[in-house]
Amino acid sequence: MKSVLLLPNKFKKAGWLVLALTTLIFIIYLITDYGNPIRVKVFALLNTYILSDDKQPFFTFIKTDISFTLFCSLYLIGGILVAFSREKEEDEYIASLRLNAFLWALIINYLILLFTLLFIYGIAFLYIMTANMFTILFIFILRFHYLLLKSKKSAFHEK
Amino acid sequence: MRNRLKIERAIADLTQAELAQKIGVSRQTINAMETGKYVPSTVLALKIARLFQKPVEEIFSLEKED
Repeated sequence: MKSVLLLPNKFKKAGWLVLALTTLIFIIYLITDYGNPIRVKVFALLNTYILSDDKQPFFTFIKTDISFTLFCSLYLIGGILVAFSREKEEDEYIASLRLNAFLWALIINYLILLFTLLFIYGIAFLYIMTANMFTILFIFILRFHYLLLKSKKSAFHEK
Repeated sequence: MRNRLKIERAIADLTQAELAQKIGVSRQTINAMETGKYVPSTVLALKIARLFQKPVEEIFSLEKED
């Protein structure tokens, strides 16, 4: 795995911060606003909300609830920063751990997808699919850091 | 693959951290190699051999399963 594709190590802390803050803001948002919509005017490259007859769906400005957009984007950015930042010492062994973690994330994610397709129907299916957008990243983060911790602990016991 | 990394490291009187620093890898890498959890790349094996001033085959050898 060419380490050229990875971000500098300092982005990792920033990523964790983004994830933590987003979770906090999300909880506050749910508690105080009861999940009320945040209505803002945004630019839509393609918009297929119900339009009146004379409007077309491309390159429009629409006023809509962006709470979903906001939180998902922040989680995604945080996740990307954490997952794709170098470790302080990025060498071939760490690269092999990364590969393993990515394989796990992909395989598990697609098994979940298959299971969902076969057994989940209706609106629940859409909700799970939405969550499925992020599970690759998060399974990777979990597995990668588990492997790192395991190897650090093993090295600690030696000398 | 079998390796005498731990033995050579003891002969040279280096800790895992020291060896790691000399080679330019993380300490986890040295530990993973010594415990047989990781097979180093050719470049890394050659670097290690050069550090201990021994031929590569004296430090790393194939097992029957390889």
